[in-house]
Amino acid sequence: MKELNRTRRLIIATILFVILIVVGLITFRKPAFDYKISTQEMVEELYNIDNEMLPDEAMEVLAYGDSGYVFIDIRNHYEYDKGYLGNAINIPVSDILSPESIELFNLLEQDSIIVVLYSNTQRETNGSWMLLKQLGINNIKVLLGGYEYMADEDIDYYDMPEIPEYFVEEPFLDFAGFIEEATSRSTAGDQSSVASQKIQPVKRKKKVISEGGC
Amino acid sequence: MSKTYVILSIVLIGLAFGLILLPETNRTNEIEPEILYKEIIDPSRYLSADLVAERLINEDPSIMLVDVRSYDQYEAYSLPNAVGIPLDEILLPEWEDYFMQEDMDVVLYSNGDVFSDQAWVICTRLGYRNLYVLSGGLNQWFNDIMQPAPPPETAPSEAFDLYSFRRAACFHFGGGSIDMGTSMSDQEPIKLVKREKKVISEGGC
Repeated sequence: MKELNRTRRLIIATILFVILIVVGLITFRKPAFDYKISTQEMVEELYNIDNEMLPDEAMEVLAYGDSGYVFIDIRNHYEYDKGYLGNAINIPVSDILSPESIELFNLLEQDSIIVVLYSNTQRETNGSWMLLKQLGINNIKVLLGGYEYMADEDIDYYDMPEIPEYFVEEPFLDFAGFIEEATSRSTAGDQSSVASQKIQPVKRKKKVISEGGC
Repeated sequence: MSKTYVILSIVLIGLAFGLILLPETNRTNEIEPEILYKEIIDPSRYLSADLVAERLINEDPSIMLVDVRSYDQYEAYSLPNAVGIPLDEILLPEWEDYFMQEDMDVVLYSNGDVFSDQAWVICTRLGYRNLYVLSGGLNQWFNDIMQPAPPPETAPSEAFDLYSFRRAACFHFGGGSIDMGTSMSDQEPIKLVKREKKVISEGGC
């Protein structure tokens, strides 16, 4: 009798133990998103030019209506309503991780359609692009220059500067040379400023003291 | 009886092996993708060139500049007291101490602001705090601080205050008298205020 009780108690304890572990496993907090690539892989991706689309490439894709590409505009609704590229889909950056958007990205990836992400500037797009890339969405490119550049009507495509404006990481002048020149000028400039100061002596005017008449 | 014990021990051993199959947890300080997302859509990480210049001029001890361009570019020119950490080497353990601290505001910069923003995303994912990006990068810096354009005469007085601050900052950062000379001569005609002679009435009778 005593022996039986002991077995029962053991069985109850086992069942409780198992239930505890099962409950623990079920309630195990699973983040909705996981990084699919490490930071090291992401840094390598930054140097992969396949992740970038140049404005003139984009122009071509838009002009020929290439069905292998989908443009996604991540600006807000108001900006999108004012104008967008081709058949761009609007997914404001605030909705970019919503289940619908993720589903869309996955569908596009299945059909091996390339997503071209754009916003006003490349910087504005960069964070969203890096996030999606790290979440494992591979078929995604950033439009260099962004909408601001694409919509700029003043750009003369037949007379482009040597380094186009959309390469924002190119120095627009020689910084070191600029500073060197500035310091050499400032030593010479000191004398000239002294000279220029000499030119403008401030003449104090004599006060004419009223001479009292009478 | 002994059968029960055998079953129990098998169950426990089974569960112990189950632990091995648990997903590998993040042992690093990496933040979750959703938190990273919230950080990314917050534009407060961008500091203007004027703000950074002001803090550098005031010798603010809580600001640290990090140059994420290549070593060559860093050697040729860098902002005062900047540390050179190229973007492709940003994950090397030797730089960890620069990022892993609570007291300093780390301002990342490059020629534009895309590389520095990319470095920001990587470092933020790694859980580093107090990271900022110099808005517009060195290109904007040279545009605003080293070659400030005088505001139109109709501009509000704040614009003139900003302009005189930028000219002083330009001088401070070694851009010297390039603009000082021309702008002084620009301002000369404005300075010329003709004071009218006071005609003092000569007392008559």
